[in-house]
Amino acid sequence: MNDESFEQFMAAALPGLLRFGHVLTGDRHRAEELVQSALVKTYRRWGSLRHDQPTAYVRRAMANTYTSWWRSARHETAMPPGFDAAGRAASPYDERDAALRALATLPPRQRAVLVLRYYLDMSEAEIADTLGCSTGTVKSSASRGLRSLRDRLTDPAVEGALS
Amino acid sequence: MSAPVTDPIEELLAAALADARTDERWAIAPKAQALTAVRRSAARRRTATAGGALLVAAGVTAGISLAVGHDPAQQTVIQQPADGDTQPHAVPGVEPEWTPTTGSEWVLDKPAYDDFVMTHILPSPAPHTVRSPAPMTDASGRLLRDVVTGLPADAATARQDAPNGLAGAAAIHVRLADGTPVEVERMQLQEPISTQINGDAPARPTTRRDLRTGSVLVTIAGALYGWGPDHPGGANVALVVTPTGQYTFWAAPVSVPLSTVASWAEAADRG
Repeated sequence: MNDESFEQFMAAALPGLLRFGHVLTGDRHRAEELVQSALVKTYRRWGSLRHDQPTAYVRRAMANTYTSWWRSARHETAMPPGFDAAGRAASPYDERDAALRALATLPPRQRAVLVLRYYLDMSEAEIADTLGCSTGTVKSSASRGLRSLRDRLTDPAVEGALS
Repeated sequence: MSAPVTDPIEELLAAALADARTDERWAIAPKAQALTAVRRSAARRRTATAGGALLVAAGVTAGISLAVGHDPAQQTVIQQPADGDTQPHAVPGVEPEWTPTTGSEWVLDKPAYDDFVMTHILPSPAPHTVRSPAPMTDASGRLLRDVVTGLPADAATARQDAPNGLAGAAAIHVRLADGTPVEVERMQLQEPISTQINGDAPARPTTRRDLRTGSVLVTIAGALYGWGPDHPGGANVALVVTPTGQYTFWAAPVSVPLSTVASWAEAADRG
């Protein structure tokens, strides 16, 4: 595989990778940074990479880089323009926005597990392989993440909670 | 996921993330020079790797010169790590080789961190493999002994090993006499960390001080969130990292003065 094939891969995969990064991080600039970092790693290994699934390799690099950025510290995550930061949900779409706002408050690993599970439709085994952890950790992270979402979305005192 | 979605919240999240696959709010247009930027960054990494090799070679040469010259003024002082191991070690998985000798080298400001990330290959995170309930180990015991060194005597504490399934990590959950929570976590770092702990939000006031143990103490005012309605305003945070990369993270609501959190963290580092 040569430079030209990498260029073709990037042209085809970049929009999807950027969107995945955006959903994963909740932040446009962080997503661009994450994709760039993963693509650099991919580019350097392009000659020895298994090329049947290069997109999976980049996603794996993105997910691992993301979860390692802030392994223990929780941090604020911005949301894309168009997401109303306040107010109660009034329609199914508002509810979905509220769910994504709540998702943005989770620790990186829980968020990554839920995004891989529902955005990429990965199985628990695939998520465990991607994140380099056990399926038990995937299950517990998903469970904790969903519990936190439930708390946030059903607590009327919490901003953006569902009515 | 093969299992059917039956939980309403799970169903809602699944629908929201399915929408995100086509919702234009999540789209990011690729930059025109994206490929060029990747190639340049990859080239910079290759340069850095080669530069590292040259520096190692230069260091070997300098070492020979020192051995011949016996100049005590040129001796390198190596900080004594807390575990008594006097030899600094290259951190596994980081390329080019990186051998921190002080705690301060593990904690970088945002520009330095970004530069490090762009010039080094970093290891994948350690797998979180400890099943719940995690067995009690001496990791939380050691952390508890360190933590109580500076805390008020009437503070209540609870130990936790392997938080989030991470082997070797430990946490102490503290309640001060008035019920104020304080959280302490300790783990082994695999790579340097940044002081920008609020993501892309504006950086919070940060201080840094090298301790006599060789560790670094970093304080961050009003960072994070999540203490709940009883404790608005985020957290005051103190980080201590030893020369060997043992990272201890203290967080308390902002009602606890930052100087107090820092004094607890420093006392714990002295053990």
